[in-house]
Amino acid sequence: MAFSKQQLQKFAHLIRIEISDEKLSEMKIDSVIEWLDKLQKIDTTNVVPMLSPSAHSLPRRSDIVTEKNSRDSILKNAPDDAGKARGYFAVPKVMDE
Amino acid sequence: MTHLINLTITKALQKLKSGEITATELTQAYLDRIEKFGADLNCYITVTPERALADAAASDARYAAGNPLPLDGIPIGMKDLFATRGIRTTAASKMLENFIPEYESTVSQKFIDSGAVLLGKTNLDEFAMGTTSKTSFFGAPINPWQIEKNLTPGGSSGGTTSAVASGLAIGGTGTDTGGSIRFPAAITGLVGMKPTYGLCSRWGCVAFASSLDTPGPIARTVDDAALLLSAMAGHDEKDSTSAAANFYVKDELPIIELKKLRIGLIKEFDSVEISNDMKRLFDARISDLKSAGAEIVTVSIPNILDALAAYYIIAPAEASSNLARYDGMRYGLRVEGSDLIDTYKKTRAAGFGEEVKRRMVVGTAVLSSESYEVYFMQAARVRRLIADAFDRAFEQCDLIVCPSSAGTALPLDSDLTPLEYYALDLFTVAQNLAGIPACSVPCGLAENKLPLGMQVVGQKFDDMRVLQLAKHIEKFAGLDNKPTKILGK
Amino acid sequence: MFTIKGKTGEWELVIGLETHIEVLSNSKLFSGASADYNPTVPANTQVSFVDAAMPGMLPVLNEFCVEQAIRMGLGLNAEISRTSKFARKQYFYPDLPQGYQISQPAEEPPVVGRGWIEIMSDDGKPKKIFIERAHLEQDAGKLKHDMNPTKSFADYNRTGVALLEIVTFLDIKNPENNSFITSPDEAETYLREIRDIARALDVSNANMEEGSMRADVNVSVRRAGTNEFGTRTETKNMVSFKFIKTAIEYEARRQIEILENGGTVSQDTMRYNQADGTTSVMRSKEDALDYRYFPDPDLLPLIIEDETIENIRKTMPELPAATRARYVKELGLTEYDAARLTETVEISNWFESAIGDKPTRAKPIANWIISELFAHPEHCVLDKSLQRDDSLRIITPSDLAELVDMIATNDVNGKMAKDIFIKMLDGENGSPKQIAEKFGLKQMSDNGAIESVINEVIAKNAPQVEQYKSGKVGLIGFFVGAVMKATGGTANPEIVNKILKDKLS
Ligand SMILES: [Mg+2]
Ligand SMILES: [Zn+2]
Repeated sequence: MAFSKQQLQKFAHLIRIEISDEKLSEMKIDSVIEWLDKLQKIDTTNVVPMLSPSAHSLPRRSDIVTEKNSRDSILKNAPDDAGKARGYFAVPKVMDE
Repeated sequence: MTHLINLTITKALQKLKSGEITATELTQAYLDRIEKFGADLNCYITVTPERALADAAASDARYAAGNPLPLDGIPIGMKDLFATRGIRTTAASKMLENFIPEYESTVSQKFIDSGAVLLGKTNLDEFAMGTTSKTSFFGAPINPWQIEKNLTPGGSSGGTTSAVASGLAIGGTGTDTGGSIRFPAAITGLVGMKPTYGLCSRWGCVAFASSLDTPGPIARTVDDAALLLSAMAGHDEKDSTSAAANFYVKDELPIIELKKLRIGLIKEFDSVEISNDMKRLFDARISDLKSAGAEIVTVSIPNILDALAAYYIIAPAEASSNLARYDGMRYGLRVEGSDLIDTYKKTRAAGFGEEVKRRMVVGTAVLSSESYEVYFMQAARVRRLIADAFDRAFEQCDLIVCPSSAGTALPLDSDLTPLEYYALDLFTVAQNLAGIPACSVPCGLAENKLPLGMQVVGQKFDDMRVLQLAKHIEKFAGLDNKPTKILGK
Repeated sequence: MFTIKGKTGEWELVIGLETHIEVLSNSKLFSGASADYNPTVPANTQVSFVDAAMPGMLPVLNEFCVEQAIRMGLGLNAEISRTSKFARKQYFYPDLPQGYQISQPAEEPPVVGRGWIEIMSDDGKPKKIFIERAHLEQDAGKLKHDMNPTKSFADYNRTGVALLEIVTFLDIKNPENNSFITSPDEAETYLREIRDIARALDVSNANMEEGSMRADVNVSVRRAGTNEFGTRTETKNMVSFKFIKTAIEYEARRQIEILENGGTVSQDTMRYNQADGTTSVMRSKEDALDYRYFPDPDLLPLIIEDETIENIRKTMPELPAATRARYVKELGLTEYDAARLTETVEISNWFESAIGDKPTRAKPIANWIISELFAHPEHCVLDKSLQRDDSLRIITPSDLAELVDMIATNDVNGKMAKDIFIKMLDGENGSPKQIAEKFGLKQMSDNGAIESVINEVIAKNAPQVEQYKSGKVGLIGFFVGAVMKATGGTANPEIVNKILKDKLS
């Protein structure tokens, strides 16, 4: 499957990476994706997809509160201090919810 | 104090127990050597001398009290992908350049609990994405073999292989998502073990591709690797994919009888072009095994040559999702933009290097609504075919052997295309897709005097026999991989 | 059936609801942080490293949240999937630390499969509403926009709390084989029923005002009597019954107008504007986000054993629909009263404990609860979310039973009972009987005593007696008032009436 430049830009936008068209073509993403196409010709009819090597079923934990207040630890690496004194992460202003 | 540097873990533990050396002496010898060669080799992102000496002093106290821990006083390097409480953990990315976690990964905690000494955090490819370690934001580590040639120590665990091969750590940790332990170990003359998926916890280890990421040890001998793995392995209820399994070796691996072993060669790998050296050394080791009584059979893994493409769909897909959390909001780099979206985009444009971006765009493409079935699910089906084929192969043999790479270490400045770099994982990725254990062990020196390795591959949770066979191969190869020999000083 | 009249004819509504209820649990869906976030909890004090999506953190599923989902599933008469999967819904927003929500999207089997509930339809008949699925997912954090002039502030206490999303079913392939919501009122009835079931099962407080219940509303219209479905729009994040009804009606009329003018409805995502009760496009179909759902590789398939389901089934209480039916049939209550008294288990428990073994108390107690106690919930702890405040005089079921009995035995009249009730609210301790005694609230039911007061009143008001006898019978109220006044309000009004009428006739 070949992706147009616009599609690749859409993907970059979806994962929020600013990237120029030139850079995007330099990165040879088309050639990588083109190479991935070789899997298309493999007959996988009735093959169940394998999503993890783990064979057990999902473990479940008991409903116990194990984590104490660790606000200071959580906030310690925050890149913006503006909300720290009041215990918040400061993020760019967003109006639309 | 070169004699200290050349000790294996097994030997060092004997001498520590007997009181012939102290943990502080051993640690100081390594710190001195890091001081001397660390900058040249660039194998550490962060060195932790105070922590190391404090760890060593605590070890000495336990030896004095007569109750040492299994790895007491053993100075190791920790791949900078494992979160270490209070110590910068970067994943070799600008994104996490100044990130200091307030928690300790399960693997590094287990080393603390085993008495190991932390020398520092080793270099790697950014977010473990690479085969050369040169995608590191902190620059590439150097392969100590023929240091003047500026060769790659492989990737992504290249900082650890550089450090262990050069005697800047006695052993260390890696993570193997598509070959990131085995390939670098092979081209630095070391033993690199990718255990069964789920044997070592991923908790606290920066995620690259969750269904493939496998922590494991890197060491100079198979016995050392087994001792490190004994410390790392074990069930962890904080990791839902962790297996209810363990691995434990007391002092050294018990010898396995070669006469009773049936060893498989993968037919499909015959068509893969490899260097004459690799072919010669691999064949030599096979005939050694044969002479020692092992039975050699041929098995077929029909889609194994498609494993690489399946891997380069699954791994980027998972990575594109796992790396979404690096958004500049709660920790790590933030580059302020004109609004929220602009801030995200500028932050992630500045924080991630090119290879990480490439894989994330590819990963997003293969998960997009138009290609999810065609790429991602098809890759997951091919993955099943490969895993099932391994299961069938292990009905015909006990263990499988194959090369670890096509050739020896490349110069760091080689300018390969992305696909050529990806092809370096050709012999290693299928084992990650299947989740089965595989160990790269040195098989000899090429004509250019650089080391090569071969893999022993086993069924899930057959990690012990994988290492046991590797130990035979190690002995047949007889590679001299003493750090002072490798580095020439 | 509910229809809307357009320029060119009658239109029917096809309504689908995606209802999120917040699951009651101690800890979060995938982490050990407390799930008991509420506005009084300081920001970011219930956030684990997992919730903050720190590097290397991994989710571990809370078994109780799964049991809650199963419990609700049984309440929805639904199939429970023996195997279900979690997947990642990926998008960027500052209230979503991981960059994805762990959910069970349509592509993956949910914990709870097909089911149904019964509601009272607009035409007063019971009607099944089919449920497609109910699945577990993570809630997001909260952003505050008014704490800093240039930044928003993020609080992750709610991040990762378990939500159960209940989705109604519309069988697109077999249009005749459907039973869905067709009016704004039915939407409300359906949501109230979901709420009551969730509360009865202790699965959720399901309180729209508090945000523990929210709904996305899908609306399409079609010509009355036709079977095909039109294009739907989805209005997101509705948090009040009233707004939901307004939004449905507005959206339906908007679509009808488009269609009647020859246009086509676009499958857009809408937002509801509270100020004027309108909807507007939030995201057009073309801009629909690609969430890149894929199975979460940190989580494996969730296998639910039959035993788990059976154990939960054994502990299922009577559900509101059954309780309501019993109240109407056995206690003679109206549908309305029965519905009010089954809004929460606390209320119905309170009600039943007040009735005790005297079914005759049912009606008066129902009236007292609905007209008086509901106005003072803090005094009777009818709502579990209310903290019991021991500085208040708590009114217990036995207090109310005693009060109602005192009226039945004519010990007090209604007015006195109300006085006693007010005294209790004001903090008066002691039982209603003791309060009556203390304040001398005793109904005068002795015929002789009342008669002598009446004789006095008649003697003092000769002109009025004349008027009454000459036909102005409305004056009876005047006489009763005078007798009550003379007795300080203690005379039994029934007896007063009877004797007065005898005497004046
Ligand atoms: Mg929804
Ligand atoms: Zn939802």
